[in-house]
Amino acid sequence: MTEKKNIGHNHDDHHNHSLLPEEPELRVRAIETLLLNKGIINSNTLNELIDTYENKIGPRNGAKVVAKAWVDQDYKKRLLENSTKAIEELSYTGRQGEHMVVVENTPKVHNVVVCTLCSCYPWPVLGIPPTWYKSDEYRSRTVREPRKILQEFGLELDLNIQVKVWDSTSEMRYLVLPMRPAGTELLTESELESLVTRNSMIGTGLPEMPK
Amino acid sequence: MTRIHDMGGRFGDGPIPLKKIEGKIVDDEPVFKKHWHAKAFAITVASASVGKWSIDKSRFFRESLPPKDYAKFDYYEKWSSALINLLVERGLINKNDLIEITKKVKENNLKISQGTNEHPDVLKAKDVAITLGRGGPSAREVQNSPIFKIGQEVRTINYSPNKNVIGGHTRLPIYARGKKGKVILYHKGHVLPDASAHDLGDFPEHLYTVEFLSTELWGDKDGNKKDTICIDLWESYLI
Repeated sequence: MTEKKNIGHNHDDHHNHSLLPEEPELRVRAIETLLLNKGIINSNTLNELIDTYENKIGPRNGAKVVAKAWVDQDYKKRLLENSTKAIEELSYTGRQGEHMVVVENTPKVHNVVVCTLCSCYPWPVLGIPPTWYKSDEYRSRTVREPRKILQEFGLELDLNIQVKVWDSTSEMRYLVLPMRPAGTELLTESELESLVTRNSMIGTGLPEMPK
Repeated sequence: MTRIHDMGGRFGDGPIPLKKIEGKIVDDEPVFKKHWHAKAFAITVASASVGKWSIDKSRFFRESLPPKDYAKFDYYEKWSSALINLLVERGLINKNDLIEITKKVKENNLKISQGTNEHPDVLKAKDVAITLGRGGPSAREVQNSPIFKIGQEVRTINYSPNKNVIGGHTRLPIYARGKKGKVILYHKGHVLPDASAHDLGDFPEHLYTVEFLSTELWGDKDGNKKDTICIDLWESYLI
C-alpha cells in the first residue's frame, strides 16, 4: 500500500467482455462452454447452485426467524443482540449472511433496507433479491425519498413514524423484524410464519393480516 | 469523482418496476426470470472457487464496466461481463479464447467436452452446500483500539477514500461525503474493500454504522427532520 497506481489509464481489463456476442443469452452460453471445456466450472455444480437458490434458500427462511421472534421473547432478545448467532440457531448461515444485523420495527420507527452501490442482500434468510431490489430506481431513490418509495409499495406511513433507511455498504446484512400484526394472539408459530412476506423483511411491506 | 454504480440520491429514475394488476402489487416473480440468468449466476459463483477473487474485487469489476454498458446492461449481463473481465485479468482465459468461442457461437458450433482436465480448485457439486454455508466472513482482528465511540458525532471525508488507487474501489457513497452523522453501531474490525478490491491485502479497519439526518444529506427542502439514513463506514472514511 505505498505507490499510488493510476488504473484510469488501463481500460483493457474492463472491455474484454465486448469480444463475446452481444446477445446476453449467447454470451452466457459462450462463457459457460469455454469454462466447462477448460475445467474451471463443472456442470453438476451449476445445477446444484441453481437448485439451491430456486428451492432451498429463500424468504421462507427469514419468515421462520421472524415468527420465532414473535412467539419467543428470549429468542427475540438473542436475535437483536447477536443476530448472526441467533439466525444460526435455525441453521441459516454463510454466503451473504456472514454478518447479520436484525433491525426492529416499532410503532415509532420503520426500517427499510437498500444497497445503493450494488445489490447487497441477506441471502441465507431471503435468497436472491427480486428484480426491483436490484433496479436503478430502487437503488437511487430510496435514500433520498423513502416515503415516496414506500407509497409505491402501497405503504403510507404516518409523519410521526421515523423512516430509517439502511444502505448496505459493508458486509453487514440487514433484516427487518416487522411488528406482529394485531389479532394474531391465537395463531401458532407456523401460522404466523405464513403471514411474513419477503417485502416485510426488507421494509417495503408489512406482514399480511390474518384471514 | 465517482463511478456510475454510485447512484444513491441521483435524480431521473422512474417508478420502482413492480408488477401491478389493477393497482395491486403481484409478487410472483420466479427466482431466476430466465434460464440464462440462473446460468450467469451459477457460473459466476462457481468460477470464484478457481479465480479466488475477493467479493470486493468482483464488485469493482462490475462497477468498472464502461458506464454506457453498465447503464444499459441487465443485472446478470453485468455479472457475466464482469466475470469475463475477471477471468482474463486472472489469466484463466485469454482474448484468443474469447475470439475463438465467439466464432463458434456464430457458426452455431459450440461443443462441450467437460471433465477432460478439471482445475484442482474447481467447485464440486457435493461441496456446494458446505461452501455456501461457510461463506466468506469479512471480520478480522484489528490491533489498535477504535477511535470513535457509539453516540459520537463524526464527519465523513470529502473525497474518494481510496488512498492507493486513483479511481479505485471504495464504499463511501458520494451522496454521503463530507456529511455529519452519529455513530450508532460498532461492528469491530472488517476487511477494507478499498484494499481488498485491488489484491493489496485485507488491511482491516474498525467498521461503524453512522446515522445521518435526512436534512443533512438532502437539505431542508428535500429532506425532513424525522427520517434518517444509516450507512456502514470504515474508520478511515471518518474524521
